[in-house]
Amino acid sequence: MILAKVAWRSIWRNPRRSWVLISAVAVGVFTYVGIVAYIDGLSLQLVRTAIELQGGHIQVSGTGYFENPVIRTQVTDQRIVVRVLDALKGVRHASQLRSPGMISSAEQSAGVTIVGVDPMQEPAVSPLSGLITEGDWLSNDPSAGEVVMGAALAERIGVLLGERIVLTASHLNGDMSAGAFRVRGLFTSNSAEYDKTQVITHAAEVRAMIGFAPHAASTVAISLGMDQGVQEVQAELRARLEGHGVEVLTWRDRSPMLVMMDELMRLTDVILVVILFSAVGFTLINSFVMVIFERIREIGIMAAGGVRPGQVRLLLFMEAAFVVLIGIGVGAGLAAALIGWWSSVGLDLSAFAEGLSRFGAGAVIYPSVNPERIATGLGMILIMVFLAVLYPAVKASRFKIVDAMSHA
Amino acid sequence: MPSQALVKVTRLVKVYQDGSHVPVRAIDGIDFTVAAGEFTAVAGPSGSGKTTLLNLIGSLDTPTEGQVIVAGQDLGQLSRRARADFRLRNLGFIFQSHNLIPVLSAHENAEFNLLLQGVPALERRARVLAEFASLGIEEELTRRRPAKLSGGQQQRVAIARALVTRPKLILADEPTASLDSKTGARLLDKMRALNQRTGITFLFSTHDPMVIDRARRLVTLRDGRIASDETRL
Ligand SMILES: Nc1ncnc2c1ncn2[C@@H]1O[C@H](COP(=O)(O)OP(=O)(O)O)[C@@H](O)[C@H]1O
Ligand SMILES: [Mg+2]
Repeated sequence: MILAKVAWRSIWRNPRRSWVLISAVAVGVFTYVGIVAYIDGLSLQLVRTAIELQGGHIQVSGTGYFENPVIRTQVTDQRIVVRVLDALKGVRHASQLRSPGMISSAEQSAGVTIVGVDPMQEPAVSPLSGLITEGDWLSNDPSAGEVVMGAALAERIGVLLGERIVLTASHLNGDMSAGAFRVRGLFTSNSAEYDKTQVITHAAEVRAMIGFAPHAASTVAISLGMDQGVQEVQAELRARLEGHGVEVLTWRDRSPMLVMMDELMRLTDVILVVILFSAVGFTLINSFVMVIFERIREIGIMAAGGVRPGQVRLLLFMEAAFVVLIGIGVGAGLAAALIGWWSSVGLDLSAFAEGLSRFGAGAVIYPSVNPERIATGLGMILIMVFLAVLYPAVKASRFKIVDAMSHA
Repeated sequence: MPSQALVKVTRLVKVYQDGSHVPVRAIDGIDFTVAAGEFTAVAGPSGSGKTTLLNLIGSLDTPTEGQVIVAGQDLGQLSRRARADFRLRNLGFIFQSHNLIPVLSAHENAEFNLLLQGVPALERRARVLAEFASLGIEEELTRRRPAKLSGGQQQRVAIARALVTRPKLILADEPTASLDSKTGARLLDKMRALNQRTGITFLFSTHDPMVIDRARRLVTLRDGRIASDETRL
């Protein structure tokens, strides 16, 4: 198309101006993609932490347990749940017994959640066994009297690996019960909160302390191979477990904060684009007002020859689009290089990690590229460009040809 | 003498009224027709309204009063966009200077309107080369951009562009004003030959006596009115 040819060649009539525009767009795109990849990386870590440390993608528990997690609210026969789960493909699961309690060392006590797990099953839904920094994961001996806990908790109550602690909790019958344990392992997860509050031991020990019936559990944690399709599995489980007095909740249901954060981050995208590209937008408006002023006469010549007003606008939009697409290409190329490098080394935020780990993110953040989000951002950029060029383009198409022609 | 009126101008008035200035009656009640096939010059001193008249006939501007009919079409009835389409189909323009699009080569400039018309590539090429040949535009000039052409060469390319679409009417506002008299005379002889060969109607404005000598009909304007209208044999 001849107008595209004119638009393309016109860019290179004032290369300096075009390169300024291209650079502005490239810097904007680079910054945008970089920040979004960082935010997504952070967000992904928060979600991972929520999923992995807090009971998998989906959690089955006694009805009302999420609202009010008392020990009395139980999955009375976890075998029913397990049978349903075993019939589903690509689903891993582990049962847990949970109780509030107290941990005491010789010097200090602290309120904690006591979690009873099957040491063989638990790794199917939780990364904890791999996060042991000192000592070992629980052995398979139900009466070994071992616990693992966060290194932060051990420090807080002043206990070292291999030393003894006492766990106290209230039995279902109302009595207090206590047991002595040896610290077998210490872990450090992405969540400082988790590390300070959870004590993990063999399910049999908790069952005895609290008085859980042989097949009762507080929760059955379910992990899917991937983050997609969670709601479908939830619906299926709900249907199949109907009438068994259980509730089936996804990590989203259990972490409204994270869901809100996710939505907030989407808003961040819009704000980012507006901030980064309003500057670019004004540069564009400015350049195109100049462009049009310089080309009044040739626009007049084209119009006299029979170029329609709409085609004049199209010509200017194409010229802007070419410049912006080059800018996006350059910016995206640079961003891809940054993200490639950054994915291999990670961004070490040790300095701020204290704050971040409170929310469940580690000290080293890896970028995550969400193509849908990047595409949405670039789409918004193109819309902004369109809006920026709209005024000069409309102005140019409304010129009185005779006025244009009297321009030398 | 051809009988059918290609251009019919009735009680035409154009008043320029911009801002604080006193209104200027650039065209002050003109009745005037141009028959198909004419080779007519509009003469008159500077400021007499020649450019304004040609612009109104070319639908580049709208009159304050009166009517302009070109090729049977009342221009006052057309929207902006319809006027653009009308010009593309019926008119050719040659301006005083700087007629060409700087980023396009001579060849691309000449075929610009054909591209807008959607004429197929082979035919486009054939028509452009034919006009270039008849206007004496050498092969080596066709790939040059306007900045690399002389004023006379640029004007010839502009004439080629006006001709390739085979318009009914070519409007030329002082086409020789930016050229030396020898180049101007040669250009005018070319235009006259084309008029004779193709029958395309030419209407041009000028105050160059050499151009006036070559016109078949001479309309002289004074203060926006027709002062005289003579046909030579
Ligand atoms: N755009 C305009 N605004 C105001 N006055 C104009 C404009 N164009 C032309 N005129 C005035 O209209 C009159 C006729 O101008 P023009 O048609 O250009 O004459 P010519 O082409 O014969 O020199 C002149 O007095 C000129 O100053
Ligand atoms: Mg004039």
